[in-house]
Amino acid sequence: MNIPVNDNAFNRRKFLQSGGLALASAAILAACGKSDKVATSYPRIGESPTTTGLPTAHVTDAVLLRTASSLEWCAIDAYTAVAALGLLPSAATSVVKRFQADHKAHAAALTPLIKKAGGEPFECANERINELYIGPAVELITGNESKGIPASDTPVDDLLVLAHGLENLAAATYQYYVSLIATPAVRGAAMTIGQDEARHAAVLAQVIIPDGKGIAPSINETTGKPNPAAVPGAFGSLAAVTFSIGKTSEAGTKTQLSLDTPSLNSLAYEYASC
Amino acid sequence: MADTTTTAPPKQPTSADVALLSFGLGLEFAMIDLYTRAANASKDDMKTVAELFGAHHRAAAQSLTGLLGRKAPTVRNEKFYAAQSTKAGGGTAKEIAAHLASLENALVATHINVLSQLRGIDGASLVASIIPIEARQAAVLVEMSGSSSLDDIMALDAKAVIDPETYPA
Repeated sequence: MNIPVNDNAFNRRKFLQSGGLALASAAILAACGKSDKVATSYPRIGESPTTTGLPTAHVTDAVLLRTASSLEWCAIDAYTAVAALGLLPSAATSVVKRFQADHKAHAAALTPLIKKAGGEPFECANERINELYIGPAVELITGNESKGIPASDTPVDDLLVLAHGLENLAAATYQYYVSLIATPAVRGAAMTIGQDEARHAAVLAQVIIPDGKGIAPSINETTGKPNPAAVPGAFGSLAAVTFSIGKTSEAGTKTQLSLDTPSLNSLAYEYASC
Repeated sequence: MADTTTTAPPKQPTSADVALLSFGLGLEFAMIDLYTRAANASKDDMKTVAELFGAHHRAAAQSLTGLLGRKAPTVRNEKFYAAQSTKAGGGTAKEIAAHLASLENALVATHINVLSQLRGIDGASLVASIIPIEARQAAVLVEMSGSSSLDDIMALDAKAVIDPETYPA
């Protein structure tokens, strides 16, 4: 049976067809027409905070020297923390005390260099280096219950490995900054300190691996990773300083840390203060 | 406040840099031969260390030669070598280590002195990468000479700079 169709009826199909035509026409007209109104802002919900940009900063000799000073203060603070733990044997404690005194002397030597380069002395630790590297490393050794970090099962070894890593980082920093420092005499002054840090690292490597076995590079047979070496190669390395510390896992491994020399986002710029 | 330096230092060694780097290279060539003498006169650990550290001086010399190109000297600083060869190649292991330690310290002081005068960044960066290794070698050799004094290990005598007037390139 055929049902008659009323051609004049405004059925659902026709409604949709005419509605679509109207929308398309409106879009074409809007695109072709000129409008005096130009959108100046997008609608939004709520208030957007105003932002203040950082001051313009340049990497000058003074900034690099201030950053080096901040790293010296990191080392001073780290050695203070290490000594306060009271874990090191007396022989290692005397080394730590000596090296801490050396870092204080380095910081003192940097102050007149910074002033001569036109900067203000920076006599405190580099917050970012502490936050990124030293704090987490110390937590891996001492443990932190609130963060679920267990204490190391070899804290004395780990403290020495951390100190060795920090000395290598300091040595690499001075070496790297030579390529950025503009004044030749300042480069020489920087490496006078940098070579001291390298000697510190050499001494610590031989405390960690004694009897002459820590002089040349070697591999830890258990972990397959490089052991600390007093003389790790023919040239000072600018690669990241890597070492493993913390509680030994069931697989026999420790947490590996990787330290990079302070770069653009951790420099002690002129606008930064202690 | 002092003015900020606005002129970037040159990358390549200047003509003055070439003379400074050539002097350092002649000393590195001499150190290679002094370590060869030390290795030949030593055994066990001292021999191994002399061979290793001699190889590091060879690497330093090769890199300096590469930087200087055709301008690079090809011979050791003869006067420096002659002055040091007897002590480097004779005596007990501890005596040889002590002498080599003093030479490493002299090289460190000299390279720092050179670095303080270099204008070109390439030369400065290379010398800066040699200094910490020779300082580490000095520290190791002081310990091998029988001293565990940190004062001895850390000692860098600025007066130990090798004088180009006394030992011309």
